[in-house]
Amino acid sequence: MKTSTSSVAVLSLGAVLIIALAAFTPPAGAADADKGADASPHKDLVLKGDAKCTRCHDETDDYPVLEIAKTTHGKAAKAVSLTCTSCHGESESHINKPEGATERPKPDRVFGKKGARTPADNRAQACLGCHGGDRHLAFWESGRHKKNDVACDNCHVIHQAKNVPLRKDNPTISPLVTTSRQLEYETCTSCHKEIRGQLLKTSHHPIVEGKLKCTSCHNPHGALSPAMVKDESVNQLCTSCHTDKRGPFMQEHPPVEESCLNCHTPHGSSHRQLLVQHPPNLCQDCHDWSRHPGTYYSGNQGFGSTTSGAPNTRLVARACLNCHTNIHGSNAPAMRGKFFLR
Amino acid sequence: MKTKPIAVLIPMILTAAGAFAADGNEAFRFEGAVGLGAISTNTSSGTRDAAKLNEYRDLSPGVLGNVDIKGYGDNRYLNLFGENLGRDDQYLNVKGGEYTIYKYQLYDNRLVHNWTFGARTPYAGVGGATLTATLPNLNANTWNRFDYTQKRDDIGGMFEVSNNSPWYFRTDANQVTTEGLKLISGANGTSPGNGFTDKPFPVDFTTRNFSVEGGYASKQGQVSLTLLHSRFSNDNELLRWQNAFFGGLDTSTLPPDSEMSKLSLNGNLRQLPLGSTLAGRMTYGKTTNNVPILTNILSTGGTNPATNPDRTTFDGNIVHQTASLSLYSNPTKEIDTRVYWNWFKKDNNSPTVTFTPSGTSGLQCSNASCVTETLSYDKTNVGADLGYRINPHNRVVFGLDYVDLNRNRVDFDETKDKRASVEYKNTSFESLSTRVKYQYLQRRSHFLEADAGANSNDPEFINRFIARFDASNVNQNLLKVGLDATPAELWDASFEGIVKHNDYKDTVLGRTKDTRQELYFSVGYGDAQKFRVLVFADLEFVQYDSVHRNINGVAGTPPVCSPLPANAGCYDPSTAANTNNYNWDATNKDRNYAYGVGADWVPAQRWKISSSLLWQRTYGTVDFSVQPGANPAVPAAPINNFDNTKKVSLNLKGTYKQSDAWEYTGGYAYERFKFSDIAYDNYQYTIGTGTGASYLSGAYAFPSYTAHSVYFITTYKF
Repeated sequence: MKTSTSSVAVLSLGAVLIIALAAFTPPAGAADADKGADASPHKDLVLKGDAKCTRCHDETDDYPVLEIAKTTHGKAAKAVSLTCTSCHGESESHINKPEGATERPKPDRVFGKKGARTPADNRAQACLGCHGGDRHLAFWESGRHKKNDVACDNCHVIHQAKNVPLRKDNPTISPLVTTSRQLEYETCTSCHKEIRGQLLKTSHHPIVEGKLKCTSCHNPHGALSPAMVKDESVNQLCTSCHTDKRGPFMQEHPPVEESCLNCHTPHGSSHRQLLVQHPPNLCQDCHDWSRHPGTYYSGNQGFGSTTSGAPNTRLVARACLNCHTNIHGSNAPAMRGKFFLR
Repeated sequence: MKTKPIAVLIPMILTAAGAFAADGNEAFRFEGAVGLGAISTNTSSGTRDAAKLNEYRDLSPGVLGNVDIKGYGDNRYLNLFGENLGRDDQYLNVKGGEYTIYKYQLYDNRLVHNWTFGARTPYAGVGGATLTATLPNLNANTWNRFDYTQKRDDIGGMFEVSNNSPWYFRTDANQVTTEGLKLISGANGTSPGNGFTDKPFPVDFTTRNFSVEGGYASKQGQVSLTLLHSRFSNDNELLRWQNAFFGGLDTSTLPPDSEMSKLSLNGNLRQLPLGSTLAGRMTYGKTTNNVPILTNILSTGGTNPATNPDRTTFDGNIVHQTASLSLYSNPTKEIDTRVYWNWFKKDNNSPTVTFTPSGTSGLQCSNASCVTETLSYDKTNVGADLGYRINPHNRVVFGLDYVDLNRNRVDFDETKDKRASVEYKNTSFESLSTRVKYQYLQRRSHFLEADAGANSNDPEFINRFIARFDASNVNQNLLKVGLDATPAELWDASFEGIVKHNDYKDTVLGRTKDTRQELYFSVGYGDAQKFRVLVFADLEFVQYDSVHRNINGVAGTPPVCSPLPANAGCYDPSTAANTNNYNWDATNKDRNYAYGVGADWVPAQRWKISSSLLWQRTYGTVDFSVQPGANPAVPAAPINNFDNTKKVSLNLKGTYKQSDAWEYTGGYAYERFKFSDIAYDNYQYTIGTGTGASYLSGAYAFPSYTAHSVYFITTYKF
């Protein structure tokens, strides 16, 4: 098994190295263009028309302004006619400091997470000027981020070259993960701290491990559904991945059909299978009847207890689910299906 | 199977790269990195099952490989990213296109989910659809072993073309295959007391999704139409297994095949009067399947009595319809509003099936025949938000929300939620931002069982008092407070506090109250480019209070109070307690603590060091109290280990950049996880003896581990 996977890895890397080596030497024209840009500080350095700004803001700036050349924006700049003033505004008073002014006025638009930046709406407009027609932003105005004064640059970085252009201001604090990708959740949880706490819990979706993203379920750019989930309802969202749970089943469990969140919490739980509460207590909060549903299962009924009747099969292992196993729905006949036993 | 994605993707990349290279009009450049290394993980001798360690990760010793290549010209781009190549958690992604003209993506995302390694079963035939055994067999040391694990492989791609116009067309397709073993269980007999059996069932699921979308998108407005088709297929829809109690081959049903089609219409209109945007969505989805109904099933005495369904096939048919409208307006600089309407309807058009098994079959429901229950419901939601910016640094938002839900459930047929909220945000100080939100929710439901049962000796009578928390009347108060501060250069701190309280005000039996309190603190210092440290503390306390009734003074089917008069009124919670019948209540508390510290340090130009330490603890308890006058045979002892866990994770990672081309990364990780739970401590594979024995698999029983991992990767950049 491992031999096979290792071979696959080595073969893959070999193939990839071939591509890399084939492409290693950049075209002569590209190198010349770089040299030309370096030749004069008043010429454009990385974007057409950037000399207006880069005559002052160059590689000596603390903030890596010129790195924008390596970003998608930088690479696409020629195709979409993008330059510094497209986002920051013409900023005439910043470029030509008014006489008598003690401090140079700021550019028309100042971005960044902290400090005296331009109001959120104005910052967002800088992006929407080009991206306003993106269908991913179709519901931007209906979303909670706009409502809460979140602008694009709260989450996105524009000048830094990254595979995922998302802001990451803090060190990663998590168990070992073997991904080298910047993980989206770190950007989201810099504000949504309660979610950070849940993602690290014992039972969680593989978000910290990088196999799922916040945007697998939510659309941070706005949605019409509550909590900006991507589907029309919670259950439709959950069963888009958990297709084995979508039925249709002959016997349905009503709270399951109404919302998965009646029993599960999606971001993380102390209890296995992302349950909101430890069974049998979770089940007993709805079910009472003669004999076992209404009986308490207490601290002296686990394995190893000497109390009469211990261990109790309604408390140990999966508790109620030991017997009522098909709790999401069953196609079994008669009482076997009615009570989700088969 | 494993080589398939690579076999497909690599030639495609080579072809694409070749096509670009052949284009003499465009200077197309490649840059990127290729990494090769290894990882070694050792678990301590006390680690019995390392599945939890590897729950979603493949940390097994072996080769680590990754690749990140970016190619770009003036108009086109091609990005390839891959990591954990050849491992169970491999990820490959290729994206490319021509700016504003077209784009495409191909990906392969593998996910492993390990629950238990070395689980046990007395059955032969694990991995197949029939499990056989000679039972009873109480010697678990002689049982077969299996790994309770599944592997998911999602391969897909998309292509989108817009040709620099507002019109676009897009198509997506993916296939998700899931293979492995999962656990199904089930009572062995017709009633509790005859044991249960854990059984591994084969997972051979395939989901194929295909969608096409076309639309028009501009800054003034957008409209799109999407058609999605999804097919789920399971190679095994039934599991046959030897039943220890009945003494024959029993049958459990597994996830059924299904097909789902959905048509979605989305759109918006911007630049309307008063700075308004109108957005809307309509969807129509149908999920169907056809499942043969089992006409007999194993029952008492090893017989297979007829279930006598009134049809031979279950034709599942569920229709979901939704519609949403949202009108956002920004009439003045200070005011913004949003009014919205959402409508959701689930029509379960599947047939109701009636089973009329004979009275001696052991298959009857409490009312003799068994009639299947399916749920249909519709939900209408309207609401409005009003935001008022008092000045540039003070903003307040008022919200109102109303939900009317109608369903065909036996206990509650209508629920109305009324929600009001107010939020205030202050950014008057450049170094301090504060937020406060208060929300009140009132839910009122129409209860259908107020007159259930003829009298308090009738088992239906208890339904008068059970109010299920997902639909019962509740008053909810929610308070959120947030604070972000930058008290000095390079320093930042934040705090968030949440208190949420639900009072299920009319509930006699069931959950009566729950409270959630959460506190989050974090303090950061430094510049991420040089040295940055973050410390956080997350504290969470959750409490559930509930009231229940123990009813044991019963006899017969249905189980009426008996004998009388000693057990008279056994189904009435207001009846005085006796040994058989009494009320009890439970207080379940879950506590969760997590403390973390992490630092990124660039001590020299060529070095980068990252480190983090995470300490987590969960601690659950249940306290019981019993109605005065009761004298239960098993005294109600508190539970002090309800998912108690402790976890420590240490990560150290260093990167040395020898040159622009070569970089070396090495790291060490330590993890220790301890688990204690009343449901698993002192675990036994069997409970009871003889035909009434229960057979357990060891699933989830031994997740504690201590592990050390070391790894290194050499990266070549070009």
